[in-house]
Formats: sequence, C-alpha cells, structure tokens
Amino acid sequence: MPSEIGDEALDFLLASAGLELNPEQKADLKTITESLAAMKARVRQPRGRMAELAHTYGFTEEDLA
Amino acid sequence: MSIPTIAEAAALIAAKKLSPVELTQACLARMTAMDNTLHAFILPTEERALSDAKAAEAAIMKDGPIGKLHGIPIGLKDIVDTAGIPTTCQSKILVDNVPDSDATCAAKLAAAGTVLMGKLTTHEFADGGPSFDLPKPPSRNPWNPEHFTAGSSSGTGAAVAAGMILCGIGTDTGGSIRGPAALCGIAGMKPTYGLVSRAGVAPAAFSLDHIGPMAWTAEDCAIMLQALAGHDPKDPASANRAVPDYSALIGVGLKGVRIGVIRHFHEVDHKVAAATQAGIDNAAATFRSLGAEVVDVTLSPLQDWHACGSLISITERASAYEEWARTRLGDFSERVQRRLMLGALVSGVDYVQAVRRRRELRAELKAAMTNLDIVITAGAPGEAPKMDAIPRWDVFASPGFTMPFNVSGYPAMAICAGFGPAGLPVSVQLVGKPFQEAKVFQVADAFEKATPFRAKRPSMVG
Repeated sequence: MPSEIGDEALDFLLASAGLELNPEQKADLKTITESLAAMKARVRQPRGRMAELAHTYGFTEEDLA
Repeated sequence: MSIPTIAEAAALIAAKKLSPVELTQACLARMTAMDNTLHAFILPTEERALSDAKAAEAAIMKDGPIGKLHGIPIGLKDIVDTAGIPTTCQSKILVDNVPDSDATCAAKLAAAGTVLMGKLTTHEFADGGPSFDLPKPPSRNPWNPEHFTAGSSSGTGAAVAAGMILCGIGTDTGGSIRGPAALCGIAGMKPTYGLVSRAGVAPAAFSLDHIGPMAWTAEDCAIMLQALAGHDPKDPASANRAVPDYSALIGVGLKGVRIGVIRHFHEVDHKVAAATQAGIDNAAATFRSLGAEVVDVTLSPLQDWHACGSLISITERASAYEEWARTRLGDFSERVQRRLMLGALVSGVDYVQAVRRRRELRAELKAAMTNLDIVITAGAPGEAPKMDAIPRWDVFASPGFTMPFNVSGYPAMAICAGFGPAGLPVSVQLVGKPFQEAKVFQVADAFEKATPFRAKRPSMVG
C-alpha cells in the first residue's frame, strides 16, 4: 500500500467496504495511511511461497464425531 | 470491613467466621460510596447480589462451601452474556439487548457459587476508549479519578482495585485484561488461547480474543481461573485438555525457575517511564534473590509484533461488525467508527501476510523460551495517563507491550510492580509457555509476597 492515498482510490475502497463516510472522516482516515503502510511493510518479511499461515484448517475431534 | 483477598475470604467463610451476606453488603457499600465517581458498573445488580449471597450463606451453613469462590462477590464485563440481565456491550446498538442464556464463563462462575454484583463498564464492544459518546460514561481510575483505567476491561480494573468486587471477568484482544490490571494496580491473567471459552462473549477479533480473571492478587487469579478453564464444544477454538491445579505452585518459591527479560521491548523499542523501568529492574532483582536464574532474551522488535496483531485485529473486527458498520456506523462511538473505517484499507493479502508473520513470531518465541520458564517485560509504559491524554488514533501512537502475547497466544499476566511519582501503580508483565499458567502464578505470587505493594489500596477506598 502506498503511504498516501488519493481521493478516488479512497472512495473506491470505502465503497467496496460498504462504508459511507463524511468528508471529515475521510480526511481523518487519510492522516494514518503512512502509519498503516508501515505496519503492512513489517509483516512482509522475506519468506518463500510455501510459508504457511499461523492457523491452518484441520479436522477437530468434534468434526469427526 | 477491610477488603479481603479471595483466598482470605474463602478461608473465613469455610470457618464460618465471615458471612457471604456481610461480605456482599460491604462491597455494595463501597459501590454506593464510590461508583458515582468511578463508573465501574454499567448495571449494578444489587437484588441479585443479595439473593446470591443469601443462597450461598444458606448452602454453606448446611453443607459447607463447594469451593473457594462460594459466596465471593464478582462482576462481569458487559460484553459477557447474562440470561435475563441486559448485556449492552456499552453500545447504543445493543442498549436493549437481554440475552436468554449465560455465556459459558458466566455460567461457570455462577455454578461455583459466586455472588453477581453487576455488569462492568467496558469500551464499546471491547474496543477504543475512553469514549464520552456512549450510553454510559467511561470508568475512572480509583488511584486518581482524573486518570485513565486503560481498557477495555476498564470497569473490572476499577471495581477490583476499589474493593467493590473481589474479582471479575476481563477480556483481552490486545491487552484489555493486562492494561487495566497494570494501570489500576491489580493482577490480571490473559490465559493461553483456547483455555477459557469465548462462547457467549461478544467478539473483538476472533483469533486474538481471550477471556480471563482479574483480581487483587495472582493467587486469587489462580482460584478464579480454576473455575473458568475447561473444554467447551460451543467455542470452536476451545482446547480439549485436562485442567490442572492452578494453585499447585503458589507459595513454592522460585528456586530453579528460569526467567528471561525481553529488555529491548521496554528499553529500546518502546522506552518506558523511569518508575516502570525501576519496577521491572526490582522484579528481576527480587526473582534472583528468591533463587531464580535471570537472563536477557531477544525477540523481533516490539513494532513487528504490534503490526502483526493490529492488522489481524483491524480485519477480524471489521469482519465481525461489517453489517452494522455498513448500516449503523453513526451509532458507534467516534473511536470505534475510526477502528471500523480502517478495515476498508487492509486488503485480504495484507491480512494473510500478517497471519503468516504470526506463525514466524510464534515460532521465534517458542525457540527463545526453550530453556526458560517465564519471560518478562513491561505491562504498560508508565503510570495511568489523564483521561483526556489518549491519542485519537492510539493504535498507531506506540507499540503495546501486551499484543505480542495475543499474537502468540501464550499466557501473560500483569501485576503491580510499585508506584510512580504521581502515586499511581506501575506494572510488570510475566509470560509463560502455553498452558503453563500455574508457573506464571508461582512467579507472580512469589513477587507479590516478597514486596509490599499488595498492602496498599487507593486512598479513596479508605
């Protein structure tokens, strides 16, 4: 994610999420895009494509009962 | 009546030297005297409390107590469902919600013979806060009501510290048990993920949510956890394991215990206040003096853990509350609206990358603790800030010390480590290996008994 986001892109993302925000809320949201981008960078470590998620699906005892 | 611990009250009740009705009346008197200031309760249940206390007293007189919680006054965070009693989640959206059944944790505490004093103040749906645009005011800190309790189990922290209850339920998605425990000067245990059922408790972020005990001492948390732990088919994440004796190591001492200090978390990654640093250093020195081996341990930067947990939390919360965010966004507090808005900016790929990072971080903590029983760091950066000093976007303000152990799911506990220059508590956080809560209680209890901090209550308690 880029550290800045344009009005059109923000409107698209909000519409996709089904959220209706007023101009003040949109402006407020744009103040944290840099911090959010930094968070996203931190979870992208060098890792191969085989690296799994923390929680993967598995059958439980209840599933098998 | 002075405020007993659960362990003390249970012994007196068993010996028929303390009546559950008298104990409950003393707690109700403190509630009457202080809750107009502290707002720890969203809904006091005085009639239910007296009814429970009388029933407990009659049963104890006839057959003796069924356990250490029999006749003990408790409170439930108001995101915990209670049959026939409003459960509002401190939200306009659920202001008229009356569940028809108890959450599993509420049912277990009732079955243990506890006395329900009421529903405790929470941040809205256990998120954000403090907020002043909700149905009820936010809770305030008994050590100084101009200061924050932390949250989201804010009422539980305040009510325990003020002696209105002897213990209460907290929930913890990124630190909501340990934060209020730290700022209110009490003990709070976030157990291993899956140990305590989440069934009937409003979700915040499914894979980070934990339910746990908050009380004045570690020993009391162990007593409360004993009643709460256990498999529940109604919670898909519930661990199916035997429940050990959580008090088994209370009073055993620390000889041979191996403790690691994650020094860079609180000295480099997020430098804590001097009083907190002194509290952690004193804790390490106390552990050594009691026979423990104390070494330093290094993990990934605190910011990595915080980013991982925050992205997961933002996304899972936006998923849980998507329908209301789309249709009733304006009915949430401004703080929760901001959190829900963030969900629009985190993609599915961002979420999966965070969950992949979570696997790496958890493996890292496991490896670091191979030869350790416990690791410690700060529970909070310093004394409680003033109510108006919490940043609008607090999730981005600084990395939290508690989130790493929601990400890992490891049991973690905040206890009082002293007091700062403003007279407010500071804390240390103790972390154990999965399902090794008894070891955490052992170390926390040894520290509490070796230091004078449990002898001091907020001055407003009298």
